[in-house]
Amino acid sequence: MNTNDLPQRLLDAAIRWMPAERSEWGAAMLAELAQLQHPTTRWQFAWGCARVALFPPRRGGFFMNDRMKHWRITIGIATLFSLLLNGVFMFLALFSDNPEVQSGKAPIPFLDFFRNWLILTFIFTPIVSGLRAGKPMLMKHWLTTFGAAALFGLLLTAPFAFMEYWNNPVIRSGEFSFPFTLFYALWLMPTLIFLAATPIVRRLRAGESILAHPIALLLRVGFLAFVIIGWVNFLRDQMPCFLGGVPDCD
Amino acid sequence: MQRNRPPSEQTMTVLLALADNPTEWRHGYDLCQQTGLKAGSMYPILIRLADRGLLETMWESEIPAGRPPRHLYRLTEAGLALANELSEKKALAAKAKRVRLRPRLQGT
Repeated sequence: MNTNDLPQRLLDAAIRWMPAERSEWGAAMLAELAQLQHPTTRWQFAWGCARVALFPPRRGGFFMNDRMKHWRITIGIATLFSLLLNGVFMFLALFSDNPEVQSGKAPIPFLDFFRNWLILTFIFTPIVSGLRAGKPMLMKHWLTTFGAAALFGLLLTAPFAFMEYWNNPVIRSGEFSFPFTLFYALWLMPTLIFLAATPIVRRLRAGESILAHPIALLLRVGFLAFVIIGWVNFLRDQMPCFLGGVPDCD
Repeated sequence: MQRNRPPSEQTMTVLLALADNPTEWRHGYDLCQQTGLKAGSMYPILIRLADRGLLETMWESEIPAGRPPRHLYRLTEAGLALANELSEKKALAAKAKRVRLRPRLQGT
């Protein structure tokens, strides 16, 4: 093997990884390398070009392209919206049913706030994306799905909220405020279960195979199992309070 | 939609090198030698300039025997306008720097 060919082989191998839209530039770099004679110059040139071939500039990446800009703004709006919504829940949590936090005896639940913020952002991002893209069907699809999920969560949570109110005279008398944060968490979990399960149910109803994307399915089922177990344990933990008559339940 | 982020120092160097003789077709290694940039910096700049319509490209038509055709580059009208604009800004910035330095020089 002629050692002079090694830079060309290196570049040739790297160019095979280039996307088709950049193939002309790969050929251009190879043609330019063919003009160079000095071994050091050839190596330096081939090495630099191989780097470009392996990590070529994305089309429109020099100045952010439309798709990147769309998602950046979409995620920004979803983040802001969920921050505002979560802020309302946090306000209720801090000023209505948490005298210990208000008096400074208990820490402000920043971690809960952050977690809920992330979850809400995750839910709102596709809705905002549909709205911004001017795709009413996509928007309708997401709003319908999210609405149905919210309703599902509400139906599962409402009986326990009623039990909490009915079986605890201290809440009815106004001595203790209603635990909104607890029921917000209790509502959010079945809502997420519904949202995560929807694509699987849709595929099954359409007669499609749910095994087409096994890794996504595995992640989804894992998430569902995690949230369902969490929700059941949460209910079991809180059931004495819902049933009433248990002193000092928390 | 594109953001009007100012070009990097290296991009400006390439634009100004190409604007030296805007009608002439240049090749990659020639530009590397003139600007002192390595191929790993030069080609991404050329690719991005071409993406933005500031650079036109063609393959060499008259090929000397024994070597493949080279890829050639020159500025488009938009590229030349940008290069001229950047050149003027650079000159103004240099002038402003001199003006700012003058009082200090007089004081010494």
